[in-house]
Amino acid sequence: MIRELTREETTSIRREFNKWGIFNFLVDKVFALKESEDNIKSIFLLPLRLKKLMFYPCSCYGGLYIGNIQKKNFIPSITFFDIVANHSNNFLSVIVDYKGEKLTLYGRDIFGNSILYASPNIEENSILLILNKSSELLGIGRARFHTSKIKQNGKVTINTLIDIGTYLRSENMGK
Amino acid sequence: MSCIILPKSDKSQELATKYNFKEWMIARYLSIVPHTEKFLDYISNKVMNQYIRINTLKIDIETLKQKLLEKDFKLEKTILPEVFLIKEAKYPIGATMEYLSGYYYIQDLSSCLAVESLKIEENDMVLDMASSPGGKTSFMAQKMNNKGMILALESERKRLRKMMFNLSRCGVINTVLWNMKGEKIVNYDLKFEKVLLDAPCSCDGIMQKDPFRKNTYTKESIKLCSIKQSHLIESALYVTKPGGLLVYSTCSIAPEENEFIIDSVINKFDITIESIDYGGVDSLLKFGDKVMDKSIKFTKRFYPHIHNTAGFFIAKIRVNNIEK
Repeated sequence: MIRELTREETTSIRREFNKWGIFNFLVDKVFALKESEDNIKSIFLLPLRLKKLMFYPCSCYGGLYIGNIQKKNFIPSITFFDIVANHSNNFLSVIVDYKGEKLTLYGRDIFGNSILYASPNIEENSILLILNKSSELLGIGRARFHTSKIKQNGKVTINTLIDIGTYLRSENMGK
Repeated sequence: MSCIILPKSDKSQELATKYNFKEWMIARYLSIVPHTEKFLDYISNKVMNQYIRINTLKIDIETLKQKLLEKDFKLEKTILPEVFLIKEAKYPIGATMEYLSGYYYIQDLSSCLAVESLKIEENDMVLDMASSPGGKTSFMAQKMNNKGMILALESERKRLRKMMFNLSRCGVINTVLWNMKGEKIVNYDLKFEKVLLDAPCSCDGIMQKDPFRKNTYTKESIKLCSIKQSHLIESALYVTKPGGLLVYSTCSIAPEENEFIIDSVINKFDITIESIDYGGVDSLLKFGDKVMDKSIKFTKRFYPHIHNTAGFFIAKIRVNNIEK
């Protein structure tokens, strides 16, 4: 079933857009929520003109799938972070070499020696974008260390949370 | 529409034995397919060509070409500027970073030609009646630069996830997906400037990709598919605006699923069959005892051994005026 978001849900998501510096991306767009049989709440962002097609009983997907709501928290999808990578300057990131790129695409964690560049203000547990040398999004990670220790040789310094290979492996996307 | 069975011949029996096909299929191919033995040899012995369509929603053509060349891919141009034949690939083309990022879609040229024939414009309202896994839908979104509206229909629940994955991967934002049988669209008060009906079919045009289809391909499957297709095309015509375009396509070689379907609606509806601009061979005007309307000549067939594509059929129909 597709429905409009409650005020609380909308606020939670708009806050996330603002935090990541992509609030302007919401202009002329609306949210829709799809609740699946197993209570997964998928959130879609679509242009206003698609609204009339989205809220039909047989509708199951529309616009961009930007994440889920779990226990009142918005959990962004890789598509959300793709918007961040392309429309924002307000994010922490690391750039990895080719070996790091391959590891990320397989959903593996990142070793310090694969990191070519790291944002200067990364803290332990920071959520950051994992980019390749062309600044293309590979995935999202959580830092295990501060920037000063993030390039340690032979140690996993970033846990990969989601990656673009998720598209192929995902069981729950868009349910 | 029942499957037409043609008389056996020494030639059909010889080729059936040589290429391990059912004899009734060969008897039909001898009447349908130009240079039949060359066709059989081609689909039995050659690996199907792989094409990619560059997704200009996410990257421009030259940048991606350069990226793939750096990875030792060898690409060959085609009649469409965004579609390339993969001559050589060092890596599986469905596993590259560029594929996962949605920079390209693995899609046969014939399939892209169906979309190209629809002459889509940016602000169109478009219907894709049998949309999964989303190759043609995402190509239409690309043509529209993510403007306008696409309503994509898919009746099979198990095919929805792949569709959603592909739309998401390709950055398509102008599409809504309904889980619904295509023919039921007439129950809604909706009309479209452009309609694409890539109809479910018996798929003998892609036997090269899936040789087991030789075993599952039956006379009954042709009949069932053609019944479904005739319901779908009538619904498609009802929801196309006056002056709008409907493109009907299949990856079938069977005339019962192609020319017969178009012929069944020519005199029933106020429509005009328009010519296809992108090659192909003329379709059949006669098969078995059935003679078809002359305007069928404007529809086109594509063959693996002639066009290096999947076996495919495309018809472009201009709707003049249809009231339900």
